[in-house]
Amino acid sequence: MAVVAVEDVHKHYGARWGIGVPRPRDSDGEEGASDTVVALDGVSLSVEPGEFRGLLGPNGSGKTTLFRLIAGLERPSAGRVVRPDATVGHSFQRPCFYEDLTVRENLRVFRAFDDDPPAWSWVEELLEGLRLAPASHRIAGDLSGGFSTKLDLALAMLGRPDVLLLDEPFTDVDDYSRRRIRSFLAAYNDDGRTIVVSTHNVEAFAPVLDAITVVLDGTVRYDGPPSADLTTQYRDLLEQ
Amino acid sequence: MDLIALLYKEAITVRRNLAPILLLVLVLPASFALGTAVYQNTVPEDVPVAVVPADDATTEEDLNVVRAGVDRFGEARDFSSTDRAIDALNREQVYLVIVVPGGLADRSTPANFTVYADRGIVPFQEPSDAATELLNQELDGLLGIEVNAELVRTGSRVTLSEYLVPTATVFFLGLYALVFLPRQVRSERRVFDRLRTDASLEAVVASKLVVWGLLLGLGLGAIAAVTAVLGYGTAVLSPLVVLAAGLTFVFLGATGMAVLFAMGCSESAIYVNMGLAAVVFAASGLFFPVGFFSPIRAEIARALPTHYATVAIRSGMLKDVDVWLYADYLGYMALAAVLALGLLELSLIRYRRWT
Repeated sequence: MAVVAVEDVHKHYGARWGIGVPRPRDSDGEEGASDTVVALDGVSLSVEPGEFRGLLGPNGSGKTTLFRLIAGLERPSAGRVVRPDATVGHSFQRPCFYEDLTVRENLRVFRAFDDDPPAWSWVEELLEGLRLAPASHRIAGDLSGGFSTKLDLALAMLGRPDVLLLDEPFTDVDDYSRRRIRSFLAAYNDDGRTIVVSTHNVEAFAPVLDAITVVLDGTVRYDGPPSADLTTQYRDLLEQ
Repeated sequence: MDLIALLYKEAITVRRNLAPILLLVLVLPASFALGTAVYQNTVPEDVPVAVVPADDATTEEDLNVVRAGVDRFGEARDFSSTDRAIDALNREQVYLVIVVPGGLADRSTPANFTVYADRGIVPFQEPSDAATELLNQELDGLLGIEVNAELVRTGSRVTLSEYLVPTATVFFLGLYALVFLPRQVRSERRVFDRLRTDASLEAVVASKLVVWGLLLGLGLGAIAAVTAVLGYGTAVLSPLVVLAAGLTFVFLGATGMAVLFAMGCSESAIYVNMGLAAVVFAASGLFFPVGFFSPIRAEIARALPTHYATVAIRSGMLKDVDVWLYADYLGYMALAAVLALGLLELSLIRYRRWT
């Protein structure tokens, strides 16, 4: 049985009107064009337990919207999202943490949200595995982009969730750390846990993905296993 | 040329943020200016006055004569006993109590009235002298006999500085709960997505109310320490003050956060809350009691829970009164707190749907 099921989901956004917000224009530059943005248009996908799935697509393709729907942060305009009963961890495209706390303090606070918090040794493992230890006593708001992304990832994995939803988890992360984190995630996946990663960085995740869903302009272009040369497969899918 | 480029950038910023900027430079100053319209008279003209029979000898006709005399400067309200009327004086429901003797129809003996005023309402001290004098003149004319109205001031002597302590306290409470708290919550808006998945926004606002509510105790402690050093006789930490301040913090804080979340945690919400604070300061009788307001404005003030908070805090600090005398005021504030928390929950639901 799928841990995440997205069934014919549509997501539309209406423009927010306000003083100073220009009215939308049509292709001829005339005011009065449709103010509805179609982010997702009939998307379906199913994520199986233990899978490492890539949700791939260029910027603005609808990945983050789909990710937020799966995370339960937004509701579909139509269709249905079945979320898992299992524990879920989320990392966000724009890192989410308390900026005025240190890295360790953030981990301590979010760990306390868990009804059955993991042993502190797991926190230490995260700090090492994600190469976050050098920044552990720094104020989170002062971290570089790479360390911010790593802290967000650590917070997502803090409760050792059964399902991990990661939105662009390599943003601003250096190459060496990327390899370390990828290995760490692969080991985590080997324990039977499910990972869904939303990214446009295909090469970075190619070695570890079991399945891919390619999204473009709010529709699914491909849903299935990755080929041996995922980068070429992805490019071909976008150019079809 | 740098300046021109930066002016161009500022023009774009102003256009992009027109709504909050208009709130800041138009609505906010306008609401402060509008607030001054609440106060119209230096001597109150529609002040509520308790009219009480001195004993069984006082007839309805005697009371009618006094009601007519009160018309010049106030609005007569009937009470059955002096004790009840004094209670109403302490609760700022009335600002004078006139005890009417019997036998006013007997033109052979002078009529001796007792008029009570509260020493604690410092801005009303001189007006109460003037009102008693007016009463003397009016009743002289109406009764055609010698009238002696003796003014008795209840409560202990309060200086203007002491009177201003509860005013400053409510002012601080308004800024703290309506402006500072929502601003502090807004500063953490970037973490809300994670909090929504790992905890809940309800838990977040509850933690804010608990922590910043407890810190409010330090604020009251600071006021108590300073007033003690200044030698004021204000009971800043009396049970009535602590209860009223706590309830006021909850209903104002919840209202401020409801506005914040209803407006998507935008900067404009902070300015709207500042406008609300201006309304609270103007309409709650912080300095001048509502007896100085016109009848309509007084009714508006009496609909605001902050008016009852102001009266309870002023009474708790300046008078030796029983908390139970203000039970209905505290109940009204508790009801306002429950309603504001309900409003906050609705705004959180809206925020979740909107974002």
